[in-house]
Amino acid sequence: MRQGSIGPPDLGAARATQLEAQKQDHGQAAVKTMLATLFRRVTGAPARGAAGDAARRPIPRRPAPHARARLFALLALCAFALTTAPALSATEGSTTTTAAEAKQLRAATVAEERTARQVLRHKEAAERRSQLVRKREEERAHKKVEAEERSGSRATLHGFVEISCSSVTWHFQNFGPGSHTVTEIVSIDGMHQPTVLFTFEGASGTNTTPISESASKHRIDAHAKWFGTGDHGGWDISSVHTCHTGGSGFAYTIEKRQRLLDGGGFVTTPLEGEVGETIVYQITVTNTGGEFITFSEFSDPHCDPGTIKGGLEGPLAPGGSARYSCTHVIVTADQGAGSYQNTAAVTGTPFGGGTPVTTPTNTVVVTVPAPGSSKEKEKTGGGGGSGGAGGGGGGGAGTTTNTPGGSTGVLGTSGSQAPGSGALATSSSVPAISGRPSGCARSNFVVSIKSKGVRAVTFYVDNHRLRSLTYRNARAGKLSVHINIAKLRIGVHHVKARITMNPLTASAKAVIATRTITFARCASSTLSPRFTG
Amino acid sequence: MHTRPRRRALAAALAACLFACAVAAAQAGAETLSNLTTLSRWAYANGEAPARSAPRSHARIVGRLALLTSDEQAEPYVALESATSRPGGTWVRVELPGRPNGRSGWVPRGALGPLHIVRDRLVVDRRRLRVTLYREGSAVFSAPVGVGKPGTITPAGSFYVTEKLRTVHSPAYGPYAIGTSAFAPTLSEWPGGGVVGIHGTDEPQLVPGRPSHGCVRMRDPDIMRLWHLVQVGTPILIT
Repeated sequence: MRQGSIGPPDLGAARATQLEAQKQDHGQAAVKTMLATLFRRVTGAPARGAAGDAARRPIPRRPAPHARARLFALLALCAFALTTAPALSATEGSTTTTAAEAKQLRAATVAEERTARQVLRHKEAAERRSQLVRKREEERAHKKVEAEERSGSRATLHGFVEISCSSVTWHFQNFGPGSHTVTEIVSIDGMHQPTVLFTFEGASGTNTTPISESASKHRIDAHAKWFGTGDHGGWDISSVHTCHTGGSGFAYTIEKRQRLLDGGGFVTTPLEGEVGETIVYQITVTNTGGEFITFSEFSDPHCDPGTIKGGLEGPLAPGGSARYSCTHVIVTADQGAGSYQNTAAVTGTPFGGGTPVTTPTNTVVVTVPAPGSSKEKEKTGGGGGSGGAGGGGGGGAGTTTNTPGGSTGVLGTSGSQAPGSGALATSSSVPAISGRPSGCARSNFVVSIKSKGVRAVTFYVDNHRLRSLTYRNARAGKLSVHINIAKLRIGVHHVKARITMNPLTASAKAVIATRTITFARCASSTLSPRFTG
Repeated sequence: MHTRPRRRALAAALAACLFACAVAAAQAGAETLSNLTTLSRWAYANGEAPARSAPRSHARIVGRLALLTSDEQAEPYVALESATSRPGGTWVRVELPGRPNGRSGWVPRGALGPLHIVRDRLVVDRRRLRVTLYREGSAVFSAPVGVGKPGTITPAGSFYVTEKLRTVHSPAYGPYAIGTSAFAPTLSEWPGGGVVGIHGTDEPQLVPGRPSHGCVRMRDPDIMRLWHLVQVGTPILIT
């Protein structure tokens, strides 16, 4: 048996065993196997499976004759194994690789590196070529510009504009030969001033256009054009400037306007309302001076608590304006006096420091007719009275005669029928919208509802609010709005009326109903048809 | 053995009879509005209401009224007959322009505007290549026409005039054009859906003939005369 022979270790067999182990296990396991085999060869120890034989064999008391040499050989092999095992593990990873495979791997790596280097060289060469092309193009363009400037066919005029609140000054520089004419256009707040044709000769030219406007905020647009002599000639320069000419110091104005919530625009003139109606106030402050102003302490005795909105957080620039708004619901106390006056006030302080100034607004008046007055009678009687029995419409109380036109006032003099006169206003009596154009709507038209029994109506076009009307706006028994067809695109549109009817009784709620009509704005009948031909 | 199926059959027949009677009762008062020859009624739509297969609010929807034609003109509807439905009021059966040709549907009377009366009728004879306008049964105008060539034929059927147009920038349509409710059976991808029109031409030498894509071509003097004679809503019979 080879196990019992004495002599140098059989390295060929050990290597074979090692390779065999490498094919099955990782590098470390292969080394262990190799070492175990070598140990058996060197020491003559029995194999693990041959324990019985080893037990029967007598144990030598001393090492074999060449034990020292074997030990050295074993140590050398151990050192070799310890140095090669990590390398094997590292190169093989989790898989077993033969030397041939490793060689192939190295070859492949080298090939990849060579390819990468080639690609890099190609890229660098392409970049160099493109840079060269760009440089040549720039040189060519530069030479072309120089040639054009020498021949006078290229713009050689540069310029800029300075705008102040008192003048617009143009500065031009001529880098070429000959004279030039520049068209200067100045517009103030969108209004064109007379066009100036400015001709100059030499290296530079300056032209100033004075501005004389009143003391207010202005937007000044300055625009100049020059048409060159060649194909590339011509440029234009423009600038915009906003100034506040004339204004200086600390000054501001404040204006108060009002309107009924149900409709109408803001006015400064007196309004007439009734208990329960809402008045909307709008207060506008405008900085008419030349310095920034901080506004504070807005006060309005008739603004209902929590309704004040708007204003400005920071200082207001010269020429700027800010707006406050609030609402007030007319109460019985307002009605008791017949009317009430309202004045707001705002405190303005110079932003840079100074004495605060509190300025009151103009006074607006709301008239609230007392019960029993002629107008109130008319409203109440028309608000749903039945056979003259007085239905108490519009929030009024008391018995009044239901005689439309029988009393003086707005409704009587206009000849319109009082709302709700005649039958009781019920949900079934909600009026329909009339005035729908048949077929095409090619021009403006009017849609209307009968005002009988109607307290208020709001018209919408394609869900955009158009106008709100109350029964006071009735004309000839109708509440009407104009539909401006020019503002609508070609196609189908909807007009909706949200109608608030007078309640049947004083304690009942008002009936709100909606009526809608559909119409179409047609194209012109002069066109190119889409027929099959 | 056969008692139960027989009873079922009887019950089904009875239910059908009751349904038919109910429908007949619901349609009591049916009235012809247009004979499409000497008297026809038409109206513009008041809104984009659905058209149903029967004069009932729950009947199947077969189409929808449109306010505008493909040329963005007001779309008229010829009213064929009316019926009174007990819960739903008066219904009107109208011709529905669109593909396929020849559809009709019931719409509530309120979905239509005022009814207009026409006593004319336009007949296009594809075999004789001639168009004739009849007024109260008498021919008042006749002219040769060019109709659709094989592959893009002019459809046959009962239609009506939907719009009258003056044409611009389109020499191929001549100076005037008349829109119809007919749609070309093949040119469904045509802009506007393939509406068949009656119009002039810049190739009068092809009239009479079969040169068109489905439209009825007329010489310009003829279309000018017809355009002024014919009214919107006039029934058209293409044979």
